[in-house]
Amino acid sequence: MNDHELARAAQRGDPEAFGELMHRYQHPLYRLAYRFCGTAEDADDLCQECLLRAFREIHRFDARRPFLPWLMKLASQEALRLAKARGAARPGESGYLLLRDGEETAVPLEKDRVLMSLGRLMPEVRLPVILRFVVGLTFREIAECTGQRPQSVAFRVSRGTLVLRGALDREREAQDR
Amino acid sequence: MTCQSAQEAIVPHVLGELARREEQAIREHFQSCEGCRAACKEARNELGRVQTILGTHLLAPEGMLERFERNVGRATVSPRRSLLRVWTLIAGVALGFVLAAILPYERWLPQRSPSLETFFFESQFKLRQSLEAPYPPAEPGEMESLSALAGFPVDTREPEYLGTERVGRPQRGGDLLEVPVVYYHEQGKTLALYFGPPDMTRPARTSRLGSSLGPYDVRDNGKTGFIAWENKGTYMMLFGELPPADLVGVAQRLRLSKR
Repeated sequence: MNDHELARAAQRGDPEAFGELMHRYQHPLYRLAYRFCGTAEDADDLCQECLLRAFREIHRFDARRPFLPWLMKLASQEALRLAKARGAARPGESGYLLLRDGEETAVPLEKDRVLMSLGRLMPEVRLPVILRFVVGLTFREIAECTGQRPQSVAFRVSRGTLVLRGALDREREAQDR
Repeated sequence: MTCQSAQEAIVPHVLGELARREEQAIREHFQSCEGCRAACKEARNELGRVQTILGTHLLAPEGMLERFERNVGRATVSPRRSLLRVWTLIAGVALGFVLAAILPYERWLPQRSPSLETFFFESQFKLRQSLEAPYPPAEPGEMESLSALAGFPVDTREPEYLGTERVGRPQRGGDLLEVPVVYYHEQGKTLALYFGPPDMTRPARTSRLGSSLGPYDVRDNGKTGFIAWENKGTYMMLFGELPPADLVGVAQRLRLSKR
């Protein structure tokens, strides 16, 4: 069954269909959550909240449209709500852990720097960057997910990537020395 | 297309997000500008590295969906729930009619809005509270690095709350009104944003900041939380729970819309 058929079945009350849909999209959901939160524990909490919302609101989903952007919209709203609930505590300063467990990297220091820079971005900038580079949504889809205008998404992604590229450059300079 | 607008469009260009006309313009610019062409090449390389780092293959932990199913229990999405919602809605509407019949008529009259001055005064306290949280300082060399990448002086300082300034409203006899002012920095200039009613006059040119972008009538469906608008003759200002970071979004959107 394709996504549309599964979504319609889930809306009719078929738990198996809903489970299959979530099974298909659990990995992009977790990627977004992990990159946004920075820790596996917080990412898991965020995913559970998103799954619960999807379960409750599946009847609102327009089954003619693609499922991933809708799920990412729920995830974005939950992620921003989580960030707001934490107030001034910025992930880059408290709680944003570097990804070391289970991940091998050719240039670990550069990766750490980029991820730290990502964690220091404001949530409203970090989220579009993650939706673009981790989930692979277009600017237009990101705009629908976040409620921003497409040109605002473009601006935020440009600004965010400027900071991340700065982390790359600093590391390159350090290596040259 | 100028070099500055080309620089701003490089990231959307590399990501394939430019509209056809803009894409054509930037390609033509690259043919005549070696500097921008080199910047684009560098951006493409660096964005590729960023993509590689961020897009590392992460998989959801085993048991995530099972935990969700345990949390939900044995509840399922039942068609009966939809039916239940309809009946709940009908019962709610009926209850509303009953309450409307029981409660005094005065309860249903619209409450008088507070004056604009009162609204601003009360909002000031919340605004100060939200803006007092400190911003993290820029890392050593961060601004220089960003400026080198961008090709123009980038100022990473966040918008700051200046306080209030008095502005005039000619339609009300030129009376003065205290409105909050936020300033931010852009390419070495300091620009001020005055958040007030649409008919307020531009602050005096001798403002201590030297230049201004106000006044503005900011409409954003209440999502940003720092909005002034006019509603049926009543000026309203909604601050909500405004974190300082949101001011950046307001400033950026205003700048974009001005262009």
